[in-house]
Amino acid sequence: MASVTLKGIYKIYPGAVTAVSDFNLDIEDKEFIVLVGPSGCGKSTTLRMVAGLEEISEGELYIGDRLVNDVAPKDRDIAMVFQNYALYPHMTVYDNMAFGLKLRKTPKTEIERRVKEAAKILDIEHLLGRKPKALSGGQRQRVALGRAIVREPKVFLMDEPLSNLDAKLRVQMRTEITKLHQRLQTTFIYVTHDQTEAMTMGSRIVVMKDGFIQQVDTPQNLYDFPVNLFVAGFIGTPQMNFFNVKLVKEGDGVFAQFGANKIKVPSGKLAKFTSDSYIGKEVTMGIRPENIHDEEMFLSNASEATIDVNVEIVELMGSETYLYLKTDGKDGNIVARVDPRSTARTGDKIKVAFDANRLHFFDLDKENTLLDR
Amino acid sequence: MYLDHRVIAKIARILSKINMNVMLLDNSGHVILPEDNNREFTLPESLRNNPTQSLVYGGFTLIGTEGTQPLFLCLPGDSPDVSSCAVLCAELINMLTKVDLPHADKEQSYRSILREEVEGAELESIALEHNIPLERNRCVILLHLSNVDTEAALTILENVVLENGSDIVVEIDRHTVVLIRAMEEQEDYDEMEQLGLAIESTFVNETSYPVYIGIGEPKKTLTQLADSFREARRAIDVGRVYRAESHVFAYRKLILERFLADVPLEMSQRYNAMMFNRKTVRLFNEEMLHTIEKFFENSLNLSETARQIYIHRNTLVYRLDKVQRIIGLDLRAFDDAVTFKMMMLLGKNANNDRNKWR
Repeated sequence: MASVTLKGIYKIYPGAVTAVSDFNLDIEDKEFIVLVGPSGCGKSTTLRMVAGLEEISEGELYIGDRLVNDVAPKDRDIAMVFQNYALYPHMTVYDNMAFGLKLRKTPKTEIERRVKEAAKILDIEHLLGRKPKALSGGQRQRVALGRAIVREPKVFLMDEPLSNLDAKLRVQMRTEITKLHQRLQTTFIYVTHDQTEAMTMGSRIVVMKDGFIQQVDTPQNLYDFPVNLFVAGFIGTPQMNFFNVKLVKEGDGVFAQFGANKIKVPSGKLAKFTSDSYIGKEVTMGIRPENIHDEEMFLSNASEATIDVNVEIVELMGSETYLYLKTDGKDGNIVARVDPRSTARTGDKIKVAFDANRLHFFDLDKENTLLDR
Repeated sequence: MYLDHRVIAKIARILSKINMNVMLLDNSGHVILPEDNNREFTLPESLRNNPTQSLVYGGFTLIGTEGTQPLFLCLPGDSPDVSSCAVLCAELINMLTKVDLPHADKEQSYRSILREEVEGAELESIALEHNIPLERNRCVILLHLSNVDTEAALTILENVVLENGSDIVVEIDRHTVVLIRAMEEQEDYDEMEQLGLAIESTFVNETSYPVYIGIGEPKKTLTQLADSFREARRAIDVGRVYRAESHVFAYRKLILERFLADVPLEMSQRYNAMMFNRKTVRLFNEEMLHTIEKFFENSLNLSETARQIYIHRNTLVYRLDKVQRIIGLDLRAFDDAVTFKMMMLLGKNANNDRNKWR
C-alpha cells in the first residue's frame, strides 16, 4: 500500500510531440483513482509512465516516499492488468497465477498460499485446475486480476481492463473490481475511456484532454461543478446541451437570450457568477438533459424558463424517454430526458421548461466556468 | 566455439568471485567479459600454439581453455598465485562448457536448421544424432528484443516451455530468441497467438524491455521449420508497419498487410496520393483519420463508433458525408470502405523504411 505522487510530469516523444504536459497529482494511499478522457488524451501514457513502461521526459514520480523515475518496472512494486488479459493457454489457472512468482523464485509454499488466497478473494477456487480454454471471458479476466493480486503490490494499475468484455459482463466486473478494491485496501489507478466506468468506480476522477489534466474531483462534483466546457460535455450521457446565449439585464432580472427564447437566470445563480462583467455579453449556457422538463406541473411553475420546441425524435428507453427537440436560436437538437409517461410524440409542438437553478455558464472563448461552487 | 548467453553468464558469475580484473577473450582476441569492454588484443603466437600452458606477457598472466577454438583468460599480475588462479579458472570453464555441450549442440543444430544451413541427408543425420523428431507439428514463436537482455528472455521462455522437453528455446543472435513449440493435438493456431500475447504480457510485467513477437505457421516436418521461422520474421516486419500499436503478430492474420507490403513503393505512393493529396489534406486531419479508423475497427457500426469516440451519432454521419462529398467514397458501403482502407494502408507502406527496426 502506498501513495503515488506525480510532480510536473511530461512525456515528450521524439519530434517534440508532447503526449502529457505538466501532470501534477497526489494519489492517496488506498485511493481508487480513475483517469478518463477520449482516445489520445494521454491517460494510458501517464499510466505507463507510472508503470515504468514509458520513460518520464520531465518531472518526478514517487511511489510512497521513493523517487522511482529510474527504477525498473519489476522493482516498483506495482502490478498491471491490461485490456488484453492474455493467459498461457497450456497452463492451468493455478500455474497462470503462479507464473510471475515462479519467475521471481518465490518459495513453493508461499506461491501456494498466495494463489489460493487470491483465488478465494476472486471466487475462482473451483477453477484452479482448469485451462483458459475452459473459462468464460469474465472468468479469464478474474484470473488476470488474480495474477496481479498474488504479487501483493503496493499499487494496482489497470488499463481499460474491461473493454474486451461484452456490455453485460462489463457492468458485472465493474462491481467486482470495486469490491476487490474495498477488500484489498490498496491503491488503484484505473484508466478508461468510458465515463460510466469512471463515475461508478472512482473515489476521484482525473479528466484529461490533449495531455493536460482538465479537472480532478469526486464523481458527483465533476457532474455538478464542471470547471470547463470539455468536462461538462464529457461527463454525463446523453451529454449536456449547450447554447450560445446573450446575458441581458431586464428590470431587476438577468435573462439568457438565444433566438426568440429567453430564460431567466435565478438570483441565486447570478450570485455565483465570478464576475458581473458578463452581463450584456455572449456566453455558453449548458443544461443537462434531465433538467429539461415537459411535465405540466413544472411548466406552470417555471414560466420564465420555458421555451417552445418541435419534437423531432422520441426515443423510449423503458425507464426514461429521450426527446430530441428543435428550437429557435440553437443549431442541432436539444436532448431532454423525461419521464416515460410523457405524451410528447414526433412532430408535436410543445413547451419545455429548464430547471434554471441547474444552469451552467461558460466563457465563450476560454470555455472555463463562470460560476463559483 | 559458439557459446550462448547462458554459458557466458555462468562464466561471468565465476569470474566475479575472483578479486581481480579478469578478462575473457575469444580466439581472435576480442574481449567477451567484462561485457562493457569492447577492446581487442593481439594474442602471442606461443599462446595460440599451446593455449592450455599459462604464459606471462606484459605483466599479465594468460591461459587458454581446451578445444579447437579456445577462449583465453587474461589476469593482471605474474606471481605464481595468479598463475594458479588462471589454471583453476580455465579448468572451471572447461568443465562448464563440457556440461553444457550436449544442450548447446542441440541448440546449435536447431539454429542451423532455422537458418537453412543444413538440408537433406545432413539434416536427417543431425536430427537422428540429437533425437529430434523429423515429423511433428511445430510452430516458431520469434521474439525480437530491442534492448540486449537475452538472459531475461531465456529465463522467461524456459519457464514457458512444456516440461516434457519437446519445446526448445534457441538464441539466434543478441536481438532474437526463438521458441520452437511442439504443438499438441488439441492445440490450434489461436492458442499459439494467445501464447505469444501471454509471453508479451510477462515481458511487460517482469522486465523493462519491449519485445516484438512474430508467430509463424505450424509446420509438420523439421525441413519446413525454417519456413515457420521466416514467416515469424516476416510477421514482425509487416506487423510493425501496419499495426504499429501491437507487439504480437500472427503471420496467418496479416494476409492483406503482407499483400500490400509486396506492392512496389512507387505504386504504393501513386495509389495513396489518389486519396491523400493537397486537396484532401484539410479533410483528412488527425481527428478525421482517427474517426475513420475507429469506424473500420467497429465494422462500420455507426452507433458503436460514436459511443467509443464520444461524438454524437449525427456528428459521425456528418463527417462521413463530408468524406463522401469530397472524395466520392461512401465509407458506410463495404466496397468503398475496402477501397479507402487499402489506399490508407498503402500510405503506411509508402512512408515506411522497411528495415529501420532491425
